[in-house]
Amino acid sequence: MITNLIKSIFRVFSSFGFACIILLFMLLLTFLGTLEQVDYGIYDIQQKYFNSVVVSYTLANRVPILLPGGGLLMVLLSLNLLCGGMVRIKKRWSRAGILVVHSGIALLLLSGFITYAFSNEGYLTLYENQQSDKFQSYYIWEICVKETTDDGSVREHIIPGELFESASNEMPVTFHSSELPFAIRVNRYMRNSQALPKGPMFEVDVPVVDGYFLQDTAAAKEAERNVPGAYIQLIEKANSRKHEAILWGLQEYAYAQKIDRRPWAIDLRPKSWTLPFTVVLDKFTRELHPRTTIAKVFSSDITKIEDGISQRIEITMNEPLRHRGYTLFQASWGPSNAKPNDPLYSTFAVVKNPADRFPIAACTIIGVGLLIHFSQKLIRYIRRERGLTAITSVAND
Amino acid sequence: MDEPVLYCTCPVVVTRTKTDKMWVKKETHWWAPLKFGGNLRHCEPVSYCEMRVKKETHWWALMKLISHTKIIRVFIYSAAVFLFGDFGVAGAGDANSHASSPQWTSEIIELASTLAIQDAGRVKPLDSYARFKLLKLNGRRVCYTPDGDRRTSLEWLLDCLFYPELVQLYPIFLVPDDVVLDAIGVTHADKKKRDRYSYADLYTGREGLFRLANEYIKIDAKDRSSTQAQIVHLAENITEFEWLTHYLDFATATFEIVENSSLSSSLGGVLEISFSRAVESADLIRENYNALESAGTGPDLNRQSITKLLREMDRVGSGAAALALFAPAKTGTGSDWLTPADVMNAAFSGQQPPKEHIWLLSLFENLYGARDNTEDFTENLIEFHETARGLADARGEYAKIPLEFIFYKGKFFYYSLILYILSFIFIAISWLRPANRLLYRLSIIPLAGGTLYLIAGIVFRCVVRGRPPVSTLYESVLFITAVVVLVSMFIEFINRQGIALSIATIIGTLGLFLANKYEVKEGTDTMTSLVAVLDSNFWLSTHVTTVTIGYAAGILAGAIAHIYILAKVIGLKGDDAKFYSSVARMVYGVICFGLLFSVVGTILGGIWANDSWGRFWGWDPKENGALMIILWELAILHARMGGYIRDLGTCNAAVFGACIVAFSWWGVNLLGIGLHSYGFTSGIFTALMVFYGFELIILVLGCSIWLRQKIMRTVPITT
Repeated sequence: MITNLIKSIFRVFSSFGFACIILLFMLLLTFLGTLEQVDYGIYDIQQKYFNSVVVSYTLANRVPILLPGGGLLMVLLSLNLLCGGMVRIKKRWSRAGILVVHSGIALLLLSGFITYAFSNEGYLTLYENQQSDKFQSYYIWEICVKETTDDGSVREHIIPGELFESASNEMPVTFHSSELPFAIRVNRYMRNSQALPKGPMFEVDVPVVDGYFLQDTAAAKEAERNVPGAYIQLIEKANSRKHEAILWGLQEYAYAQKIDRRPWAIDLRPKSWTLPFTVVLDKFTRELHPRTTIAKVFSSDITKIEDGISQRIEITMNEPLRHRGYTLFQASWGPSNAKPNDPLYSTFAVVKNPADRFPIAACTIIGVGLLIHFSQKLIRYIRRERGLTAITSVAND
Repeated sequence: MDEPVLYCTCPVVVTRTKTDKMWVKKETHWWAPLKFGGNLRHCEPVSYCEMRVKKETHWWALMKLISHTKIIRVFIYSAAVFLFGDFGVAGAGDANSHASSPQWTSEIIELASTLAIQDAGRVKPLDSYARFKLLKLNGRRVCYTPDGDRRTSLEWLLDCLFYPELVQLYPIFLVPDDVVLDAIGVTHADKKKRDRYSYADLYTGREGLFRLANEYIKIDAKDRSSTQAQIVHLAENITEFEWLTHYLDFATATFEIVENSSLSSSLGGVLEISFSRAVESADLIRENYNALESAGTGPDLNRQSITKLLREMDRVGSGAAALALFAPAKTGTGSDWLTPADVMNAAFSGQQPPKEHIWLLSLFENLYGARDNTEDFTENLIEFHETARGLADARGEYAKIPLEFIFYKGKFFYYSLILYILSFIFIAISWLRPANRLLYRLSIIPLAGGTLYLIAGIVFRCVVRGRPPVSTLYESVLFITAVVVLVSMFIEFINRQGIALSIATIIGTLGLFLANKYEVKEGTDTMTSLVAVLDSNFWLSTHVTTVTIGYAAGILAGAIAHIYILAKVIGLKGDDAKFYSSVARMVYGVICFGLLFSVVGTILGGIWANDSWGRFWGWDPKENGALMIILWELAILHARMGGYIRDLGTCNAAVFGACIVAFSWWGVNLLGIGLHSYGFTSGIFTALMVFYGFELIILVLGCSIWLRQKIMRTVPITT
């Protein structure tokens, strides 16, 4: 009974029909996700359509439809590929090419999964002659509680963004730690906000702290432009005293409070990672095609310092720096309104992706597989057509 | 690097010129950021003519008032010719007289065509510059004088430079909709809705045009209404035309030097100098000015003399900024070529211009002076050509000029189109008489010839650009056409049924027609400079080429599927199952071929993106378009293997696949988003909708056949 059930499930998962359905859904999602980019930024689209389990799509702004999300489809496609394309497929010479192709696609899917699950992506901006070994996320924010320890060093306690992003007036989120003499309650989190001074001539429906309030702003189309903000409350464990505060993404200094006779600093900041080497921007070069504003070359001369050893490297468009699992790309520059001789900065996209080189291998495998399979098909086609032509010629004669 | 500008030496002109010059040099198009109408301080025909010959004032003033009806235009034109006769432009009995339009000998044309100019980021022949400039203004590569004389683009450009007073009467401004004329207050009673107008026709509305254009330019280009876009476009065209027709103002100008002034004595007692001489003597003029400044109490006469000279020079010289014909004399002095305005600015900011540049300026003066004397003109032009070429050669920037000139002169794509049409005619007649193999064979000759022309044209472009075959949307049309035709010819070679041959002629014709239309529509150089991220011949030749072959296959599969569906609809070949299964096999084969290239090309694109943007896949619209093609083709193959679709289903799916290719190729560019939106495709929307409309009809027909077959199978046959 169970065996039969397993067999039936296997048959369904390994069928051509199942493959067709998944491919068509993926096609539909890709199409919708492309069209919607006219109104929404790529990050939101990616989250909604391609990283999701279920997509709720409203047809013609009226009829809501539920569609399988990109994440779910990828899992189903992997199952289908495994069951149908690699296990159930007839192992014949005529299918050898297909088997190779399927293994290439499996590698590509694996690469996608590794990228999704294990890669870090951010940016590093440096003015000429500046240096850094940290890069920060475009989208992920975190709350950082800093304390000064007895030996004078700074210790950080981190609350990851996904834990407080949902905080609202109705559902505030509170964080406790045995290492902290207070609890942190996030009363409200705004994905994109502006911190404004409260004037005497108007009222606001949000709390005013130290003469400032947070204005909730519509999310920017490019998600990296969002500046989040949060209303928080520190609740002292000893006496339940409460301290109201505003955290804002662009604030110059962290919020500071003395609790338990010790100073604490609390900051809302983009998540950052440390590189195993330091990067110094020596010079940024921007060259235009003559008498135009069309960019010809963007390049950054950098010095990579690692274990006291310096190495000069040029990072330019299409020629990133790959080192110790990290890749640094020439991403942008500024300020865009810089006058001649003004200092320029260069921004590098930094990616740590264990599957960085998988696609090249996958591409080669798939290409070879398709070549084998379609060459076999072509030879068969030519033989058949030649045969037919010969027969037709004989018939005509 | 600071701009070398005139204000360094003369505080009088500082405030006015600094901003203009910085903008002129720094922006994409030298005219673009300028306020319309404010770019040329002496652009009105009246003031222009005043400066040139005072007698012209009469007819220009008259023309300003009454330039509306055709009769009056003819009158004005006749009057202009009559007046020119006064000062010898078209003197009777002159060997070079031109009652209606200037005559340029073939030697002059060839010399001028192969002059090198730096424009839109690259060095090109003046002939190429003229072609696309006229195309942009006129919507075609030739124009006509009011008398109906045909002018090629280069003749027109020479007319602009040397006979600006005549060219202002050529109807070269294409106005697609006369609503624009209503908006700017120009009457158009005797004209068609879409018609061409001369500068003189539009002059009365010039002020209104620039006022509106300055307003509409603030609106984002994609949000402008059709009329607003046309007004901005027309204002741009008028501005560009004015820059061209005022380019040689400096060549006709002479500058007075006050008698007995210190400058006059420094210059050897001359009372009048030409522009080139003034530029040559820039150091001297500057020294004089500085001496007066430091002395503080110099005679007013001297100070006035120099200030007036500088002001006049700036007025005349800064208008000569349209054509960068002077290659920098030394290597390592930057990659920007210079215009006469640049040479002047450099000279007055303390950089002594090379003697070749001064020589070229004086040759321009000679050329203008000899405009009515072919012999003198040719002689000066030869000298100009040699000097300018020498400068470009020294930098290694002239090598491809003759090649590009031959490419455009060769009209490869035009002849290819003609041959494809011829081949199509043969093959179409052969459909009527299938038994006659002669026509079938005859059609192969022009098809092969057309393809050779097409390939030769693509190769020429590759060599001139130093790029793989596809790096712009325009080139993708040419390349896809070539691939479709070649693959079709290969299929025809195998099965010899005439089907693939028919497809080859049809797609060949349509493809080249589309390429031509696109070129005319854009009206800009198709050999554009590439942005930094695309500047990789390795990836252009691997990713772009393979993905484009994938597009070509998708289109070819769809095209062959049309034959299947239409043949079924009209009952061609009756129930000849072999014929239909053979066509379906072709479709299937081409889909497989397309899938191979689409998959490999798309993954290669991902690898490229991983190197340039730091991610393999970013869900960019162009990437998604390619993915959609792959997903659809995979779905077709799996559905066919699973037995869900057969021949008809495959053909219907292939037609839909062609729609997806069209979306990926053109459609995503219309969305105006994403990192791959390199191609400017305004106005493509209508063409795309027409294509989709047609494909929808084919799909409906295909589905109705399927439905009929299904009903026929399910209804039991009763006797």
